[in-house]
Amino acid sequence: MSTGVKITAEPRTEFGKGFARRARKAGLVPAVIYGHGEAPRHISLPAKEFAAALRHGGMTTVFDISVSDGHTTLALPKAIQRDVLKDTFKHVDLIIVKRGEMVTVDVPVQVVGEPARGTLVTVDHDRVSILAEALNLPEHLEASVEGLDAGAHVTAGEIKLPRGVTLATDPETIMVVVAHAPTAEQLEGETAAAAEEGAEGEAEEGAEGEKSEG
Amino acid sequence: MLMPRKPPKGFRKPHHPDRSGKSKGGNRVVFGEFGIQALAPAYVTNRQIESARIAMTRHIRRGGKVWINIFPDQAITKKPAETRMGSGKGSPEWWVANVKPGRILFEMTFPNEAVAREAMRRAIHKLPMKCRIVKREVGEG
Repeated sequence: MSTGVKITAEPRTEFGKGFARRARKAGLVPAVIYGHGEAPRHISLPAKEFAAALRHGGMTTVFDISVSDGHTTLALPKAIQRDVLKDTFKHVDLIIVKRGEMVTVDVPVQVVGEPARGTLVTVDHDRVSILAEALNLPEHLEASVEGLDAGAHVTAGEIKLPRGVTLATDPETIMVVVAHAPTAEQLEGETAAAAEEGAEGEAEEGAEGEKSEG
Repeated sequence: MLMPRKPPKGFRKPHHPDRSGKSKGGNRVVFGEFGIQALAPAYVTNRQIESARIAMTRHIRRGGKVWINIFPDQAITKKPAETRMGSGKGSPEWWVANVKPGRILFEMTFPNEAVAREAMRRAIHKLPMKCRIVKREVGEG
C-alpha cells in the first residue's frame, strides 16, 4: 500500500517551452496541481525524487507535496507526459486528494502463476479501475492464471481485491485470455497468407497500371 | 507482402512522407510482452517488415505470438534507370511505413525471455534503422 511520499517543490513563475526546457535541464519536472475547486498551482518537482517514488510505488503513489512558499497538499498523479525515447518526464498533472477521501484510479494488473502446458497468455486489459481510499491504494493487482487451460479467461470480477477496495470497471471485462499456443505450422501459415495477399494486391496494381497507361 | 488492398484515396504518386519529429502514438507495448522500438526515422518497406517477421517466427518456432504494429501504406515512386529528367513523376515502386523515433514496430509474447530477445535481435537486423528491445512495464503511466 502506498502512503504519502514527502517531496518538496518550487513554485513556478515562468511558463512556456523555453522555461520548461531549462527546468528539465536543471533536473526539475514542470507540474501542475489542481482539484477540489482550488485554483491550479504551477510547480517544479525534483525529477530524480519523483522518478524514484514512481518506480517504487507506481502510478498510485500519493505525494505529500510541500511547496517552498509554505503550501502543503496531498496529491495523486493524474497524467504523466514522458519522453518516448529518453523515458524522462516532460510534465506531470497532480490531482489534490484529502485524507479518507474515496478516489477512482486505474491500477495496473499483473499476471501471476503458470498456466497449463502448451498455452499462451495474452493480456487484453492491463489496468482496472477501482474505488479506494486515497491513502490506501494498492500498487498493483494480481490476476492469477495458475493451472488455467486453453479457452479460459480471467475477468475483472475474478481479480482478488484488498479490503476496502471496490471494483469500478465492469466485472465482465476480460483481462487475460489463455489460448492454445500457435504451432510452427500456424506461424508459417501466416507467412503464406500474407504472401498470397501481397501477390493479389500486386496483380491488381499491375492491371490498373496497364489500364492507365493504355 | 503487406500492401493496401485498395488504391490510396489521395494521390497515386504522393510526395515523400514527412520524416521529422517523434512518434506521437504507438510508443508503448500494449499487446505483447516485448516490443521493438524505433530509435531513428525511416521508411520501412513491406519486404523489410515481412523479413523481420519471418526472422522472429522462425526463431521462436512455436508457442509465441507476434504482432505487427505498422502498415506500409505510403507509395514511394522511382523513375526508371537511364531516363532523362522530366516527362512526369516515376511510377510507384515501393510501399513503405513512415516510422518515426519511439514507434513500436513489432510486439511479441513468448514464455522464455531470452529466446524472445534473441528473436527480436534477429528481426532488428532486417530493419533499416537503429532499434531497441523494450519490455512492457506494469504501471507505466
